[in-house]
Amino acid sequence: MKHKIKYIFLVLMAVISFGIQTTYAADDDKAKAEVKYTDATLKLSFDTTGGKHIIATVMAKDPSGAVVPVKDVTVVIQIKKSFGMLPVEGDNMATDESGTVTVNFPKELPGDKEGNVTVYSKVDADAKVGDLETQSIVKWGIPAEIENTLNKRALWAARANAPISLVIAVNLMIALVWGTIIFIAFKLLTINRLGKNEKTIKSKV
Amino acid sequence: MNSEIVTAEKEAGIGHHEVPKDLLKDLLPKKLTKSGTIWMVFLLIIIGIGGYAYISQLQKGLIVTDMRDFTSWGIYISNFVFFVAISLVGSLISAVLKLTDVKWRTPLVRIAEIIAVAAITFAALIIIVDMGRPERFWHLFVYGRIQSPIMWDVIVITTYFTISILLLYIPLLPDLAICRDKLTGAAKWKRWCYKFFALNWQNTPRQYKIVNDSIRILAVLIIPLALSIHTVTSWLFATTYRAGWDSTNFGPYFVAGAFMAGCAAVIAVTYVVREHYGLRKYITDKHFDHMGKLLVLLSLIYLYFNVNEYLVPGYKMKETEGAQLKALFTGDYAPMFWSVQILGLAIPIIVLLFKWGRKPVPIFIISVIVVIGAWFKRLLIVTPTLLHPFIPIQNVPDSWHHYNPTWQEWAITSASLAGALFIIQIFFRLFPVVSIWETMEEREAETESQKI
Amino acid sequence: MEVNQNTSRRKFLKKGLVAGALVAGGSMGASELISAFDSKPSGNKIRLLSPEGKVVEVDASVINPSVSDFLVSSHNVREGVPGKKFVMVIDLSRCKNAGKCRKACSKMHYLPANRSYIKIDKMQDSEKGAPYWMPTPCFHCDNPPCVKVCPVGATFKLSDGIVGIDNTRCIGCRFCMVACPYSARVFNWGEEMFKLSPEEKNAIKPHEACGTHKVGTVEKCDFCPQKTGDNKLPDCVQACPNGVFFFGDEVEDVVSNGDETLQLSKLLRDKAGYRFLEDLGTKPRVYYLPPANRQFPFTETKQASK
Repeated sequence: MKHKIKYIFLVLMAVISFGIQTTYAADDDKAKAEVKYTDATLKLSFDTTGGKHIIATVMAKDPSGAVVPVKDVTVVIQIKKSFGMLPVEGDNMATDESGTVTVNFPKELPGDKEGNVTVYSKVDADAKVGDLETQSIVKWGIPAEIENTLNKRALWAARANAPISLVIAVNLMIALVWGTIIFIAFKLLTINRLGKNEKTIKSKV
Repeated sequence: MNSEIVTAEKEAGIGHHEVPKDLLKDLLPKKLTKSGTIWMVFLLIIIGIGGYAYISQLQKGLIVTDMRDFTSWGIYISNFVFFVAISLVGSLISAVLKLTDVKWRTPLVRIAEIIAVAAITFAALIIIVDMGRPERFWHLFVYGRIQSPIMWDVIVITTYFTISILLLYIPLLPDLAICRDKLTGAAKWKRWCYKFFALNWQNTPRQYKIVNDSIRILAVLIIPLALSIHTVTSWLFATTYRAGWDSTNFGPYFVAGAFMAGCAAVIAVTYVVREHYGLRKYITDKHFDHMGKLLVLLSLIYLYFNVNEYLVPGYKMKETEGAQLKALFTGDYAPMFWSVQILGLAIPIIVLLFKWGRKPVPIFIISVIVVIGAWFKRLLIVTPTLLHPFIPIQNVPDSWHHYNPTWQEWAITSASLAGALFIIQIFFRLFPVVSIWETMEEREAETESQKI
Repeated sequence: MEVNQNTSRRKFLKKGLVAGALVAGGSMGASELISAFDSKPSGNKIRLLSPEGKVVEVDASVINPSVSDFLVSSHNVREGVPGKKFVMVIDLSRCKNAGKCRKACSKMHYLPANRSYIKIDKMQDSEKGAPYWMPTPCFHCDNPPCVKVCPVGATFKLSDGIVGIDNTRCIGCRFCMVACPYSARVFNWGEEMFKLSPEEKNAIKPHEACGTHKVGTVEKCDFCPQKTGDNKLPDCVQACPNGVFFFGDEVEDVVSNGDETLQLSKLLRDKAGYRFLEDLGTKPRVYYLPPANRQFPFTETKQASK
């Protein structure tokens, strides 16, 4: 009987202490989780050492007011294009201890006429910092060479832009043939005139 | 003194002599006979039915035909190609035979030219019939693109039409004067026409010189133009990628076929005209014999091009090309294909090689068969290719896998053929079939050579 | 009150339909839609661009506010969006002939359900090769045989790569249809071919659709210029449930199918993109990704055909 009570007491103590530990641990975690970050910011920067890299940095103010980098925040980096956002992937898209994510800029990506490219970054509903987004323009794109095909001379172009050789050939042939036709048509009028003269001559005779 | 007068008279041209009475009796246009009237009424009925069919096409659109998205060209286009082919005969007889100094062509020239003019007129009309929006025809002249083979076709057809009209009209001038002077009993409007179009022709030497020079210039000009007209028409097909059309051979192939078909058409019309107007004295068996030999030559050339056109791709049997050839050789179009090649090409060649084959009646029958064969040959060029596109026809109603022209298409096509024949008949009602002044010249030349 | 609410809703729908009809400028049913117009004019005029390229002036009271801004512009319809070159990539390994692209295209262009400008064909390259489904829109070639042969300039190449058709210029000669090796063009043979059933009519959103049907003229896929000029994907791309179509700008080198956005040159390199009948030299603007590593096994499915 006494042994049984001892065992029950020991087990009870174990359970209680475990419970206390976990409660305190939870409190610890809660305490950790409860470290409120405020004024979180997401910034993009660009680095050219050893290749072109895009660096996204997440910083926030911790409860003491100091601006600190935030770790383990999943950052999405995309390049803004007309029909969609081109994702730029790296090895690790979660911020490290310095609050940064580094990705390589895509090779041979065209930009606009000057080579500008809009890089867009966001954090989606993160537990620590919530929603963040930012975008930045960098001149790392290949300058776009846009050929305006409207003024090119081609067989498929508008009629004003037909190939010169075709225009010359066709117009030359039309001029030669129709010139001859018109010449002969005038000759017919000559026949008429000659006939009139002949008639007057005959009538005089 | 006498010899001077003789040379002066010679230079003055034939008109200074009186036209022999027998020529006037035989060759001047005659009154409408009963059979002539029946024929005219028959043609007008066919034209009327075609007109009614065309109105239904204008109201509902081209949906009244059996053309659909795949067979988007049908018998209107093959009929167009046929007409352009026939019209080449004008240049053949007027120009080629003239420049090669072939003497026996004289009675046939005008017949050939009016066939050419009638054919080219209806080629233009049937193209308008084929347009989805015919009221926009003027777009071709205001917005025309010089890069398009259709524009090239418009230009050459217009030019060829003009030159053919001139080649019909200028040699007609002296005869118009004869009609004006001799047909004093004709209707008032006819007399006015003769007077107006005769351009005060007074048989002066200078007038004759203009006529002869003009004919010579036009004869030279029309030959490259005739070659162009059918080459450019063939390029409507050859400038596409389609199996059966993507051929470098199309220009010469079409031109050879055109000369053959046109020659046969002239023989057929000449026979009918000869019988109807009683012209056996002027258009003799010898003429048919010569034309028969010419037709054999042209048919052999066309046979040569046919062999090239079918044997060479047949040797290779590329995918889509092979499917199209199979349809022609052993498939849906085999009966039509082999009829055209055997009845329309091989048998005529064989028959015409014999002298009895070139007698008027046999050659007339052969020529009609050749012309019918030529019409179906153009259909064989247009339709099977369209039924074998690169992407096989799928997901469309069953009827879209075949092309069977509707009654409207047949009616309109028949009306166009009737219309061409009608123009020819009207022409011969008003003007001499055989050129009077040229016949006189020939007689003079013969008597001269006999004197010497 | 119930009745008033219904009438005002009906009036609003009418206005929306009329705006759509005016904007679309289509000949089909336009008169019956316009006759429904009965609201008072506000006197304020707005300029709209009809798909035929004509600038029409319309009273502001008629405009449905959701009409895309792109339409209210004065850019020349024969010039195209400057600085862009549209391109499409079709992934044949994903197509199972769901047919949603065809349905969306029909709706977009006032076509009955059995007709659309995009076709899905069963292809089999060789006897022992595998059959696959191949959707074919117009390829908007850079060396277009259809544009070359048009005698009146009714079809033309824009600077953004699109090959357009002007249904007010077309004379209906059908040379372009015969010249196109891809069977991309269709013809308006007659009004019966374009009759929409009442359900089909109701399913169409007028301010998003575009129909310039004229009996006796040619029509084809036009890469939905109202959408693409406004940086929106064409309807076929959006409608496909399997992500088969990618659309984008070759100058930017990026294409998207709505879900995935990829770099074009990389996609074509990695997946061996090719163009159909490349050897003809037409230089199409639509690339295909070979039907390798198929998402779906090939099954014969029947498509609707009247």
